[in-house]
Amino acid sequence: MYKLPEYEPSDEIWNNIEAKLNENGLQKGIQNLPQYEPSAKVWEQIEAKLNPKPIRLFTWKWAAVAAVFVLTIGLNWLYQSKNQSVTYSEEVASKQLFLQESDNSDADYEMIMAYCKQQTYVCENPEFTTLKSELTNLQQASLDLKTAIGKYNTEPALIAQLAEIEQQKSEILRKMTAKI
Amino acid sequence: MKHRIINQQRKILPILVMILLCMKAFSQETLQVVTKSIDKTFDRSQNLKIDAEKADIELMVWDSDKIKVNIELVAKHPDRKVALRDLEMLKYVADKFGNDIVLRNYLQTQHENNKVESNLKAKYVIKIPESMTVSIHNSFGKINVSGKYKQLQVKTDFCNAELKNIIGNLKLETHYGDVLCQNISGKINIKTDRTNLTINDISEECIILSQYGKLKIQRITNLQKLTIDAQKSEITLIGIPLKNYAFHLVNDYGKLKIPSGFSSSTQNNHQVAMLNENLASKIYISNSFGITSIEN
Repeated sequence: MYKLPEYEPSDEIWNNIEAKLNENGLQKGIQNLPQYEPSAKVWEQIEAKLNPKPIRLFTWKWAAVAAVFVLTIGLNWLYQSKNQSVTYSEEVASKQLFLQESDNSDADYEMIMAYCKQQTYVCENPEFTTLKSELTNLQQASLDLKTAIGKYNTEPALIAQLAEIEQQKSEILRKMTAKI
Repeated sequence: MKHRIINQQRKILPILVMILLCMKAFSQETLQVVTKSIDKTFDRSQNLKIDAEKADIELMVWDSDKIKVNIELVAKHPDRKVALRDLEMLKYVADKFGNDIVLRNYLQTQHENNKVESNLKAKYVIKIPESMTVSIHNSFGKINVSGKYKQLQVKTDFCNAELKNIIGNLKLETHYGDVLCQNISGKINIKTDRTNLTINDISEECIILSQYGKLKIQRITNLQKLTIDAQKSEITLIGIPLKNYAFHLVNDYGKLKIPSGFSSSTQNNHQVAMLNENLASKIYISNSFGITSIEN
């Protein structure tokens, strides 16, 4: 109903309507009509239908929640940026601390594992099994360490540890190959 | 003739210097270093928990009721843009949860395909009031700890750790790496796996479980009890006052290197050596497939 277009009648039409309403016959007829008073409930229902409550998408409660949220994020960002700084510099790193091709002894490990797939008799020997288990542990340690060292290492301690593990691996590989 | 040789040397020398300089230049690489520094201060709390990766941690006790934390997150790469991008993936936590102050650094990649190319590192410098309960876990880094604690728990993977001048009970668990415990007053409980462990100046009671380790223990003047249960380890005790301790050494399939005065027996690769059995302060060492040495 609220969406219908509105038109204003001309003064002449209003005058004609008024004249017709004041005619005697009509006035008498109106006076003789019976009168009914609708109950309060009916009025309430009419009022409710005439003024439907608009759906509120935005209430003060939600506005307050949103404001607190934005404020918290803002303060947090402000606090973090106050206690946080980023600086830039340069470092000349020795390539000796980077991983070398020679650090890769995976091929030796793979060779022993491949051999054990074929020659199960030797590999099932308890002493050989113990060595194989030690080698697997060291292999995993070596892989973990290499991942941590990465491409641009600057920590001598990590390379020293890798060297020690690789030496231990070599020692075990020597013992294993002696038993093959 | 002599002049000719000198002239030739004069010509060759600059060329050699040039070659050496070139070699040095090729053996180095300039890395762009991007560092994010975070400073935080907390009020005193019961517990401090540090869970770090590739971190250098320095923890000390100071005369203040505050807990002061400085964290540096560092990315190194020849390309500064890559270093900056990778640094964004290195996240940290420095917050208080109930009675715990939690410090943590971890890697968080947004997509599975995002691979870290830079060398990433974290550095912690932490100052705390004395008598707190502290636990530290770190991998592929360094740990330096000193001071008085209610309880100190340290767990390391591939770390170099130095725990010096500690007052309080220590629980230490190590996997690979080099660890030094020096001047510790309190009960010590150590579980070590493939670690080079050096222990100097300890007192009270010390229990060590070791596997594939190298243990070197020296200067234990006030120690009441030392128990080492080891496998495939190399154990060396240096400068221990023999007359002050009751020794009970056991070794299976290995070697016992002991000074004269010990009573010893060997049967089927099972060796036992004893000294001063009735003394109250005791040293018990059990080892297998390894070497146990007592040196003066």
